[in-house]
Amino acid sequence: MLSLENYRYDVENCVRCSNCKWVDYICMKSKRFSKICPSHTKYLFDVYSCQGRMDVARGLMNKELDYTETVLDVVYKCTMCGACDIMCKRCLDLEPLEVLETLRIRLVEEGLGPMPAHKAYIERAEKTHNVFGEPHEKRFSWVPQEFLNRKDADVIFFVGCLSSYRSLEVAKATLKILDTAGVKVSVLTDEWCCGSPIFRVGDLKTAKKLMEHNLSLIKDTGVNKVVTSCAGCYKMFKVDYPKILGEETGLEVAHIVEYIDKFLDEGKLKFSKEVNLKVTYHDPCHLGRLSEPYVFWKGERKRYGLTDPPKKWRRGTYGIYEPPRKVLRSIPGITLVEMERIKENAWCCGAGGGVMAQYRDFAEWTAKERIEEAKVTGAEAVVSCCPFCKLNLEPKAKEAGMQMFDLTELIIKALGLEV
Amino acid sequence: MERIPREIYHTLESIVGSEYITEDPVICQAYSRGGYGKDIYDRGRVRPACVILPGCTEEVQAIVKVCNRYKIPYIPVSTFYIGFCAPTKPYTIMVDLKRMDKLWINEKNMYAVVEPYVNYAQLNTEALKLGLYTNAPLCGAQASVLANHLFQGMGQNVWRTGFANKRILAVEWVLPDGELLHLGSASIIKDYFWGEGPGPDLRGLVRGWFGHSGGLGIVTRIAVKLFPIPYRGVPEVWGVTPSTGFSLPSERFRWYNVICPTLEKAIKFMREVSKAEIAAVCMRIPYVWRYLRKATCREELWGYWLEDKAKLKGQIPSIVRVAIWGFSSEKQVEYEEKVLMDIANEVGVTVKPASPYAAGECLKPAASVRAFLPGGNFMGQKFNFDSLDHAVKVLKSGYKIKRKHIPPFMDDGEEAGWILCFDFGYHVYAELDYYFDAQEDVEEAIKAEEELLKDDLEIKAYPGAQWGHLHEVSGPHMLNYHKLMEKIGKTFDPNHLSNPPRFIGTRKEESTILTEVWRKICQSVIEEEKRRRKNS
Repeated sequence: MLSLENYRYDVENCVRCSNCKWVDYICMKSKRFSKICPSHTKYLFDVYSCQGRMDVARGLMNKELDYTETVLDVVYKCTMCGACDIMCKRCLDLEPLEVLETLRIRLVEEGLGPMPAHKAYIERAEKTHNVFGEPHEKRFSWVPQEFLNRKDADVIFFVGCLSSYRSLEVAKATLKILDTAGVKVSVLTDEWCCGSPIFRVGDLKTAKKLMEHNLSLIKDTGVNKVVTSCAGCYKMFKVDYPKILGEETGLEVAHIVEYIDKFLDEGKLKFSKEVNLKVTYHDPCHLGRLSEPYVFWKGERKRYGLTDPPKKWRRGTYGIYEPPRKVLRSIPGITLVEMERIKENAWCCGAGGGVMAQYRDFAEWTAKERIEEAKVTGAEAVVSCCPFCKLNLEPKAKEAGMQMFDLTELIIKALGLEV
Repeated sequence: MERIPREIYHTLESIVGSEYITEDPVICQAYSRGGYGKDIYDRGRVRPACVILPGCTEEVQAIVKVCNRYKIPYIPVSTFYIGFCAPTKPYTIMVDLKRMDKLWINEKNMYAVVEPYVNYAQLNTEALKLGLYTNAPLCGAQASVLANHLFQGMGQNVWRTGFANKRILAVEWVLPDGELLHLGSASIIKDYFWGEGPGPDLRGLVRGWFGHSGGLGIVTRIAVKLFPIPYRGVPEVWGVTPSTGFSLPSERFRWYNVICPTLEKAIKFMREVSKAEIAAVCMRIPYVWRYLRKATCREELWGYWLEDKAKLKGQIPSIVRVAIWGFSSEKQVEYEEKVLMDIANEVGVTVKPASPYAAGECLKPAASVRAFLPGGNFMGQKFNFDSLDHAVKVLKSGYKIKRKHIPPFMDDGEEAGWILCFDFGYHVYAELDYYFDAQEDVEEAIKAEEELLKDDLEIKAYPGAQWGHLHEVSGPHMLNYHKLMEKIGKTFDPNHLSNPPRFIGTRKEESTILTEVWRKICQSVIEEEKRRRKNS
């Protein structure tokens, strides 16, 4: 399925309408924050937009273009945030993001991709099972013994590389929240990288190895509920695992914010402290517009481009947009003010798609743009639900005199707990 | 693709800096296709030799002058939507105006000055904050305000705002040879508030009737009229993608779908509304657009449409979309609504309240690209400008031609098409659309396009707007206007360098000769370079 050739119709039927470059016009609130594609906004040449990349895909497929360094530059200077995909699908039945994904897979197959920094972290992940090259034992060293490989667990907390090694505060907060709510939660000591940063840059083979390991590990526990606090891991388990493996995983995947929302409704969590803060919420791409469950489709395009059997489209309608907002509003003392580009129209933090590793300046530029938007709201802090977003946005937030939190950190404060 | 000689490339590079110019084939590839009308209006396309992104008018001028010095063809592009600008000639330079995106609004005098890369969504978003608006084209709010005003400028709101040529004020225009010309008040007092002077008023020339598609140089700045609207702010958005909308206060903004059993009744209704000089919008919409707008996917569109079409048994109603805005007061809304109902009763049509969220699609059309949903491509023809009666005449006649092509074209059950009224109905535009398979029916669509135009000429209609390649067909029937266009082209652009693929129906032979001239000049520069290198 994940072959560029399978998307020939999508590539050839891009109508070059430029919807992929702008926020939904109806939702546009100012000229200043009217663009949605970080890559095209920064690099300007049309080839750095989704429709431009469709032309490159078409050029490669039709052998009008050679595989060059510029092809790599164009294909990899993209955060894979999927904004183009969702904006395109406002009107058309095409799969632009899957074209971009298979384009990267093609580059890897051709022996050209991914980029050097990607190759380095993939190598590290193969050796140490995390993209940072940290010792595997360190991954769970912070976890209290009673939660490790728990036999009576109802839920597996898949921590992820970033929370395990770089954003421990998120990992600890998540575990604490689950425990406080009375969840029998387990952390698996043999958890490996979920594969997201690897699949995202087109290395399907290595990503598969990691995925198969994690799936088998989880299945062996007999538990089918997986919760994560990382939007990247969440989308990977929920969307990309079935897509890549070609079958349902049998797992019930949730993001911690969905659990918190439920726990609050059920009275399993009760806030006892005020958190006096004016905040704005940044929608992670992988929790928002790209988080709809994967829908299997095997068929063909018939006359008029009709799909046979009819395909169900993921248009970003049912992303996790409301739960984090509802949770934030329910925290005593919190005032939530919205940025202009929100939900399906959110501007990416800039970290994804391997950009933070390979194109640091682009990642920082994208983050700066988001923080400027956040600053305009008058908020004191930016809140998100993804450690990767936090990692990339935090330095720019600090420069702008703002604080940066993962939602779980505010929940801990509101519960009067410490981690 | 032939490379531009180094000397020329480096000269261009010195104008914008190395960051904003490229001849990399991968980057140039993204400038080798047209948009709407893919594989139709971009037939014979080639990859451009170079892409350059000027940041200001002076840079545009300098680029155009270099192009003239070396006889290199150039094509301006901006928002890239509906670009009849795919290169077809060797050595073509694409002048991407994306860096020129400034927008100024003069609230007091109700106009905006825009550079090429400002779109309608941006303009109307900012204008609404000041209680102002302008027409937004039905093709979508992503269209460039500047390019669209120079091209056609049609849309729902033209009932009050009028045709594009009446909305243009002062202009800054880089002529095809690189000279800078300011029109209207911009010429003498460097203020953009007025189009007629002091100074030259050549708006008819810069725009033509249906635009030159970049064939007469590059307009770098334009002032456009804005109009008062009884709302000031940023409307709250309803819904989530792909169904979003915004409404405006119902005391001042009301929307109606008028269901007319026949086309004749729809026309009679529109004429009466026109006579009464009420409403802010009054436009006939093809019936199938109700389905296009609501369908969640292509299969659903076809499913629902075929089911309902069968139920309607060939009696497809005519839908007229009307909006009443209380420009002066709430009482105006009450009054106009009463008049509207009276007219409806007299004519025998049914007025139904439409969704208040129609406001969003009216001021910032976001769903226009759904025209591609039925089959992957669509085309419009019968671009006639005259009166309501004339619109009926051409659309009905066109329908007979269209029927011959159904199938393979989608049977949208339409005996007419879009009917847009300008200036309270004193000037009417007709358009007949047909939807077809983007892969298989392109040749059929091209055939139908020409047949429809010839039908206009046969029934002595006024197909006032044509794309470049059809001027030769319509020109001889209409006072040889194409000869006039040819003379204008030759006078302003003797080297035929400005967007050569367009505006050329009449300059085809000349274009071939000139292509050879460009080639020879470029080759001679290359030879010269080689000699110089060898000697040094």
